[in-house]
This record gives sequence, C-alpha cells and structure tokens, in this order.
Amino acid sequence: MSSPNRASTHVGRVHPGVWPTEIPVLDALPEGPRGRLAASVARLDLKAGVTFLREGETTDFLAIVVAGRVAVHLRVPERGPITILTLEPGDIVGWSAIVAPYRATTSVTTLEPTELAMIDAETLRGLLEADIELAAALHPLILDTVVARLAATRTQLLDLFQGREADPW
Amino acid sequence: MVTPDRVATVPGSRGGSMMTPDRVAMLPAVDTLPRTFLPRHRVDELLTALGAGGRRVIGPTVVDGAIVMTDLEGAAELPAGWTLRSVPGRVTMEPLPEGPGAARTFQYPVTGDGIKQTLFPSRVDALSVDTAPDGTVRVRVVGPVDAPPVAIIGARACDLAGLAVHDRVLLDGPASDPDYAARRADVLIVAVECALAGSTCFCASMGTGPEVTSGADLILNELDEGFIVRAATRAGERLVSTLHLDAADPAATARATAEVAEVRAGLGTAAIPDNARDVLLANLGHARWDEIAERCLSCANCTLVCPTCFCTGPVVQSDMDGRASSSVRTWDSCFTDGFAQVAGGNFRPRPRDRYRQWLTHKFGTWWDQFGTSGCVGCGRCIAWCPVGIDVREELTILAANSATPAVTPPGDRRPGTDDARHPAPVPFELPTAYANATVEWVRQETADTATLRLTTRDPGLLAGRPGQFVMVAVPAFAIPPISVSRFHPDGLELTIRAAGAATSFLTRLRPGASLGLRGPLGRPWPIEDAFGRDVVVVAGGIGLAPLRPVLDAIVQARDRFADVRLYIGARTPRDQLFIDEINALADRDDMIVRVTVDRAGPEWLGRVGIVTQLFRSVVGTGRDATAFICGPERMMAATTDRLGDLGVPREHMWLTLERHMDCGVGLCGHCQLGRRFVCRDGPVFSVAELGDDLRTEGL
Ligand SMILES: Cc1cc2nc3c(=O)[nH]c(=O)nc-3n(C[C@H](O)[C@H](O)[C@H](O)COP(=O)(O)OP(=O)(O)OC[C@H]3O[C@@H](n4cnc5c(N)ncnc54)[C@H](O)[C@@H]3O)c2cc1C
Ligand code: SF4
Ligand code: SF4
Ligand code: FES
Repeated sequence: MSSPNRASTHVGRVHPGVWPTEIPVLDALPEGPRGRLAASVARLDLKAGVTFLREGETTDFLAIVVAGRVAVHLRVPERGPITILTLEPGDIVGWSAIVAPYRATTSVTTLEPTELAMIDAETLRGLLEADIELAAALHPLILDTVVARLAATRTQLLDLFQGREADPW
Repeated sequence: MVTPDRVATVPGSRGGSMMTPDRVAMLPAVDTLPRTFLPRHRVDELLTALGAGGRRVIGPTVVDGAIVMTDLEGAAELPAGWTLRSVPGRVTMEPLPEGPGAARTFQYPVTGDGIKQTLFPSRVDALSVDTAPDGTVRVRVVGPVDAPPVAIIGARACDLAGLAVHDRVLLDGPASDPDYAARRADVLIVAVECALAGSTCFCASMGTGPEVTSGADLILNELDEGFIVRAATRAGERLVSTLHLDAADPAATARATAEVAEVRAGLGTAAIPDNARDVLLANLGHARWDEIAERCLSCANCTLVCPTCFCTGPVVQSDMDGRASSSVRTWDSCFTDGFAQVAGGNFRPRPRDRYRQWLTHKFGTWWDQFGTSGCVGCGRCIAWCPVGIDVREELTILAANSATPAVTPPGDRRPGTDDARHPAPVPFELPTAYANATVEWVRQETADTATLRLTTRDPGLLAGRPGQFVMVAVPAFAIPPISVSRFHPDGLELTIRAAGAATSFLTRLRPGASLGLRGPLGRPWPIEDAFGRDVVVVAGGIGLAPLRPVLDAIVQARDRFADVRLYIGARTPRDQLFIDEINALADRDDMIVRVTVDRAGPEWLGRVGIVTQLFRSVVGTGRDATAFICGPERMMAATTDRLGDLGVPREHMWLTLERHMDCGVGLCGHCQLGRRFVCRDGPVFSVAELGDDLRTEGL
C-alpha cells in the first residue's frame, strides 16, 4: 500500500519500499509496529544540492537518511541562510509531517547524493491515529529528533543574539 | 639540653625537607627549656646581638598611627606603651592603660604585616628576559638580590605557624620557590608569647597558640620588669650565651606562664566548627555564599594580611624597544578579577565564587594540597576586613545546616599534622629554568593560528611526553603556557592561537627567531592506558593541538591499540587545524575520522553540528574504550556525558584542563581547581579523578 508521494516525485527518483535494515534507529521499534510501518515505506534517491523540504511549506513526508548527508538550514533576516546542522544515515528528517499545521520550520538540502527511506505524511498520520502501539513506539524517536534540532538551533542562535561568533560551549 | 638548629634550605634544594620534622613539628620540650631573664634596660644588647654580622633586625615600631614590622635601630623604637585593639572590621592603636604594664613593648596582638612581608615580600624581582646582540633570547631567573640574613623580633605563635605553612607551600612541594628559599635560609626568630589577645584571635582553636611551641630561636615572655628568655635552638643558645643572662626567678616565670594561661583561657578552643574542613567542599551550593558575597567588597584585604596566602603573579615591565623586559613577582589575590581569567573567559566570574574559593581553600582544600590547615587563627582577615566578615561566624553557619560528618578528629587542626591524608608530592623534578629554542619554520594553520617548529638542544624538553606543556618567553610579553603539539628528536612544535598580546606575537615569529622555553610541565596523557583498548579521541578547536602527540603515538604503534576513532570539531571550516594531516588519517583504513564544524555557509559540504553529535550512533560498546578529550570545558563535559552513556568508564576518560597559569609548578596558586593545582597535578585528569569539579561553576 505504499504510495509514492506526490511532492517527492519531482525532487528525485522514488522506488518501492525496502525496509532500511541498515538503520539501527528503527530497531528500537517493537516488531509489530515496525512491520506495519515498513509496509508504507518508499525509497527516494536524491542528487546533491536538492532542497526537498522548504521552510514554511507543508511537509509531505517523514524520512530517515539511509545514505549521504543533508543540511538543515533556515533563513535569518539580514543574515541569509544558516545551516543548523547536518544529518547523516540514521537521522530522522521531516518531523513536522506529523505535527500540525505540518509546516516545515527549516529547509533541508542534500549536500551529496542521498538516499532516504520515506513515508508519506498523510499515510503516516493515518497509521499513527489508528495504531496506538506504533504511535507509542515512534513518538519518542521523533521527540529525540526535535530535541536535537532544538539544541542545534540554540547553538546557532547564540551567535545571532551575541552579535559575534560565540563558542557553542 | 639538645635543641635542633633550624633546617637551612638552599635555593632549589628540596632534599627530603618534608621528612625533617624540625621546621614544622612541635618541640615537646619547649616548656621545659631553661629560662633566663633579660632586664628591660638590656633589650638593646639583645638587638645588637641579633644584628651582629650585618644581620637586618626587623621588629615592631609605631608608624603613622599603626604598629608595623620594620627595620629596628634600637629598643627605643619598640612600641612601648601602645596596644592594638581589634574587632571585626576595625583595628585601633591605643595607649596602654596607666599603671603597671604601661611601659610594655609587645602588649598587643598581631600586627597587620606580621613576618610575611619580610620573608615573602609583596614585590620581588623574578625574571629578566632580553635579546642578546646575536638575537638569542635570554631568560634569567633573578634570585633574591643579595638579601642579607635577617633577625625578626616580636613574632607570635600564629606568625610562626604561618611561617611553617609557607615553608610547606613554598619549599616542600615538587618545586620550591628560590626567592623564598634564599630569604628563609638564614633567619633568626625571636618570638614573644602573647600576654594579650584580640577579640579576633582564635589561635587556640587552630592549635597554633598562644604558646610558642616551634619555629623560634628565642622565646620571650614580657613582664613589666623585663623578659623571660628561652633558647629553643642552638643558634638561640649561642645568642643567649653572648648576653650572659641570669637564670630567671621562678616566681617571675610563674607570673609569665600564668599570663599566657589566662590568654588561653580567654580564647577558648571552639571558635570554628570541628568539621569545618569537611563541610566546605560538600556545601559549594550553600545559600550562605550568596549572602556573604553581598557584603564582601572583593577588596582582597583578607588575602593580603593573611600570613599563609601565597598566590603571586608576574608584572612585566619592558624597555622602549621591546628588546628587554623584567618581571616582578607580586602578591596576587583570588579576589581580583584577573585571577582566574583565561583568554576565553573567567573561571570565577562572581564575587561569590571568589569568596568561596578563599574560605574553601583556607580551611578545606589546603589540607588536601599541603597536609595542613591554611588558617592559623591569627584573625587578621577578620580585623582588617572593611566590612567585618568573620570567618569563624561564616564557618559556623555553613557547618550548622549541613549533614557533613566530621572526618577529621577534632583538635587535630595544627598545621603540619596531616601527612596521612596529604598526597605524596609528584616524584619528578620540575624544571624552573628556561632553555633556549629557535624557530625553524612557521606554518599558518588558520587566520589566527600558527604552528611553530622549534629546535632546541635541551634534553629535558626533548624528553617531554604527549600532553605536557611549556612556558614560552619572549621579551616584553607575558609568558603563556602552550602545549607541545609534536615532538621531534631535535625539537618540538607549538600550535598557538592568537588569543591576546603574547600569543599574537608568538604566531607572528619568523624562522630564526629565538625564544625561551621552560618545561616540559604537567602530567602527560596516559597513552599506556589505551594499549589493547579501543581509542576515542575527541578534539574541539585548538584542543586538537595537545592531542596531536597522542595521534602521533597511535600512528607510530597502531597495532598496540584496537579500534581508533577520532572526532574533531572546529568553529567553522576555516578554523580546521592540520587539514592535510587529518585527511591523511581519514584515508587510512585502520581508523575512523569524523570532522564537524559549528557553523558553515552553503558552500561547506561536510558536517555541521557540535562535536558530540558525531558519536550519536557510532561507538559500539564503550566499555573497552579509552578516551582522550580536549576542547572548551563545556564541550568536554558534554562529551564525557555522552561517552559515559555509551559505556566508556570514567577512569578511562582523560581530558586536559585549561586554567590561568603563571608558574606551572604549583607555586603561584592561579590554576587551582578544588583540591588540585591544574599545572602540576594535571593538566591531564581522568573524569573519575575530577568528579563533580568539572561541572561545578565558579570553582
Ligand atoms: C596547560 C595549557 C596549555 C595550553 N596550550 C595552548 C596551546 O597549545 N595553544 C594555544 O594557542 N593556547 C594554549 N593555551 C592557552 C594560552 O596559554 C592562552 O591563550 C594564553 O595564555 C593567552 O595569553 P595572551 O597574553 O596571548 O592573551 P591575553 O589576552 O593578553 O591574556 C588574556 C588574559 O588572560 C590571561 N590568560 C589567558 N589565558 C591564560 C592562561 N591559560 N594562563 C595564564 N594566563 C592566561 C593573561 O594573563 C591575561 O590576563 C594553553 C593554556 C594552558 C593552561
Ligand atoms: S584565614 Fe584569617 S585568621 Fe586564618 S591565618 Fe589567614 S588571616 Fe589569619
Ligand atoms: S572578605 Fe572582607 S577583606 Fe576579604 S575581600 Fe571580602 S571585603 Fe575584603
Ligand atoms: S600554581 Fe602556578 S600555574 Fe599552577
């Protein structure tokens, strides 16, 4: 029942779902929920330099980086884009796919050819609503991601507020 | 009667003086010594005998409404008829009451200066740095410029206890202070037992007085008609024998003894809580510290008058063209703004941190460092504090609301009584002289950082180990500590970030330039700890420099280590150090290298994020890993947390700390962190050793 996402098709090549076994982060999910999630996963191959999530726009999918590297960045008035952090295999991207109003708070761009394991936002929301066991297992992983993003954003913003290159430490 | 001569200490010698009890231990026989009598009109004869052979005689006299210790010409200069009345926050000089005793000369408790200024002057010439005509930088340790031998008259029991503490600090450590050693080598001391105590005195509670039990050549008890005299050393006996004194009248002796006994009774012995020593480090978060900080002016008076305070700092004075400079060593204080300042910030930014350091050091960590209390109970810090902060009261309050048990038996607070808990001194000679080195080449690593390749023939420097540092001297600049970033058979490399004046100058040196190096200093990285284990190296910023010799050691003997992982964080892509070397390591298939930057523009295709993000998911089981970490302190704390979560044992996580350092050998006091001197006990420590200290703000 995996349905390649409308928005994702124009950024890269989508092919049918293969469970990202090389990604330990999902091992944390119990077998049942993991299987139900796996059924909806698709793969997305992206070239370097592709922006597949845009600050302020609707997030169409949640993904796990399988290979490559992507930069999470945002635009700061009078300063231009700043990279908050880069993500690597195992990292989750697109958490706003499940948090209303489903708008991305940052943009994400590939820095090198990148492979994502993705799941369509609406499909995922439906799954989470219907499957409490899956929701209970997946939400902590998503929260971890949000926390890491928050910490990284704080580090970068320290600079802005202090008006100089602050040491993050 | 056999009495010991004082132990003469020559500059640089530390030959087992710690084992020699004479200087610090109590002479049990002191109250059974024969007593003679010096009539008041013959005091000049004593002063003359003391001054024989050109000896300076220092004693109390009245200057500008205060009694101070200064050169004495004769007995007429003694403060006859005057006393000092001290209460918290105020010392006043007053005439002695009319009647018997009105002409006494030592009828006051301690003076503000005591004997500290004489043997440990507030300013001494320390170093001269200049450039010889051939361009060589010469660094000379300027000794005490012909300090003549001195005699001190009027020292009190607490003064002598303070002196014993100074001996312990300045002579008995791994390194000894040459200036102090020279001044201390030939001193005659005439002590006076107190027949009057101030409200601020608490010697009896510290076990240091009012009776004089050690450290003096002669012990005097003043009576209206003259002095009971005891000779406590051979030198003292010789002095007395030249005076041909009569034996003291037993009734006079009894009167003198009774006066001291009365002082003792008035003092009491419980001025500070029994568990003071143990309570302090356990109560670093006590609300009282904030309360004290609101009153404390950070004026540093307390440290200046304290007979045991020993912290010093250099003041560099240079000639017009910057070819020569000299540095004067002056008293410093943990209350000053710059005391714990380093290029990246201040380790004790708030007055609260500074007061806490002072009290915790005096009554607590001093024991750990020197096996003795840092307080001798003289009460000066109470009397000379402009706002009257009373250490006795503060300790009592801190101890009252605290559950800390007394670890140290009550009554055992006498300086020099704690060899059991006093760690053995570091068993190696610390270099105190500067060797010469020449710049062979300079490589600009980043906009503000350069690596200097130096050549030197100094065998000590060449024998340095990874993690050790050197003090780098050039004329006209402060002398900064810099880690060795690589060792060569004929020299070494330093990688220096221009953080201020001295480091900026150093990064701009040209090949052929000369400089002075003192080192190697500090405890090295324990590379052996990683033999047969996985190795995790984590570097932040310039922190990669002290870790580079670790990487060299790993590459040289790669098969001695299991998995090797190197994680490097830099501020920006432009701030990466040793890029070619790191790339070469990354190309090897026998180690994993990950680099991240804190911030980068869109052109950077590498990782962005703080270094701790690099090992989110990488280290397998950390139990078999040894970690070497260097970077900003909070980065190291976060890294050790992270590695700890991943299973790396605390005793196998090593990091190197930065602190303000001036001497590098445990003498100037600047680099203290709790119980430690970072310069000499570190800078490399294991996380297990540091415990909470790493995260305690303002320590
Ligand atoms: C053990 C150790 C190893 C170090 N290794 C390196 C290294 O390999 N490379 C490197 O670039 N830097 C290293 N540092 C830091 C370096 O010593 C300081 O950046 C340097 O002292 C700054 O001096 P400055 O006169 O150039 O700066 P200024 O800005 O003129 O000094 C700032 C103020 O802080 C004081 N100060 C700052 N830091 C220190 C310090 N650590 N010790 C004493 N006083 C200080 C100065 O006296 C002055 O008051 C090391 C520090 C320590 C303690
Ligand atoms: S801490 Fe105060 S009372 Fe104790 S020795 Fe120093 S000045 Fe004297
Ligand atoms: S305690 Fe008193 S003497 Fe010491 S720094 Fe504070 S105000 Fe000055
Ligand atoms: S005591 Fe002087 S630097 Fe450590």
